[in-house]
Amino acid sequence: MPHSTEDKLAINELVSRYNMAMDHLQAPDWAGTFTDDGELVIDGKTVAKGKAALTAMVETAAKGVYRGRHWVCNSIIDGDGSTARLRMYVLSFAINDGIVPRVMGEYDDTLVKQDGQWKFKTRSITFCAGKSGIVK
Amino acid sequence: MPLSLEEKQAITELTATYNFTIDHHEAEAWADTFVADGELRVDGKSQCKGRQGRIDFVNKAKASGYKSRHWVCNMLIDGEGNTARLRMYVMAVAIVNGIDPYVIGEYDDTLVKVNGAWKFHTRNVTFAAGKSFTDGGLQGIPAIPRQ
Repeated sequence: MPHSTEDKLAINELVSRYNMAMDHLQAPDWAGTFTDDGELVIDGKTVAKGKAALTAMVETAAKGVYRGRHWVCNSIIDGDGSTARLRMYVLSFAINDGIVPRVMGEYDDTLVKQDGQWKFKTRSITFCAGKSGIVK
Repeated sequence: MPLSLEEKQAITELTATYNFTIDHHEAEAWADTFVADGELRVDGKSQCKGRQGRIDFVNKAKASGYKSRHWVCNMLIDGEGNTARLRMYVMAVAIVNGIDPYVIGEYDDTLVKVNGAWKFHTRNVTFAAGKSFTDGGLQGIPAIPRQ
């Protein structure tokens, strides 16, 4: 069955929570947007997989100099039932000193609905300009 | 009862109206996105409150030479019945001289539904980078005293 409008809104709200948790360096909340075996892939390489590794990644970022804001648009959600594919643009700004566009790219994600809640199974981002402020 | 999709869409459209009207200096239309005693708070302080106060604020902004466009994303709407909480990012881009993203922040607002229409009760913006034009964040644009 194709996704309902409620499902698509829930996925877009998941994206908002992902961005807010990352930008405020709230590691458990951010990791909680993934499934337990969820994976973050950047430019084709696995950066973190599993709740512990995802949490540790943001905890490490919080100790460093990363201060950013994620801006997204062009959300396209496909799929049916309890699985979904999300594609969207992202533009991340560094806010350490003024407002500086740091990196731009596109997500191509796989999500699953577990116990009535959408989660990222794989967040896969490919950058087209700039460099990640979190992952070296 | 949790907010329906229709309620969330109406709140999203209210936000668009807020942005269009402030950016085009439509003082009365902007003031009417709030309830009568609605308030705009900037970094924890009241900027303007009450319909006349809000109209005066936009007219002062227009007179100052302030021109910008508001860009928003990461919307989260919670609530039930006739009250709602809206959180979202905002980036204001000055267009006085080129395209200058001069301030970035987050709203954490309270809204109420009055006579079938959603309105802001309190718009509360906290900036993470840059400074509001109301506090002199834009070179050449005088600060606008708080009400």
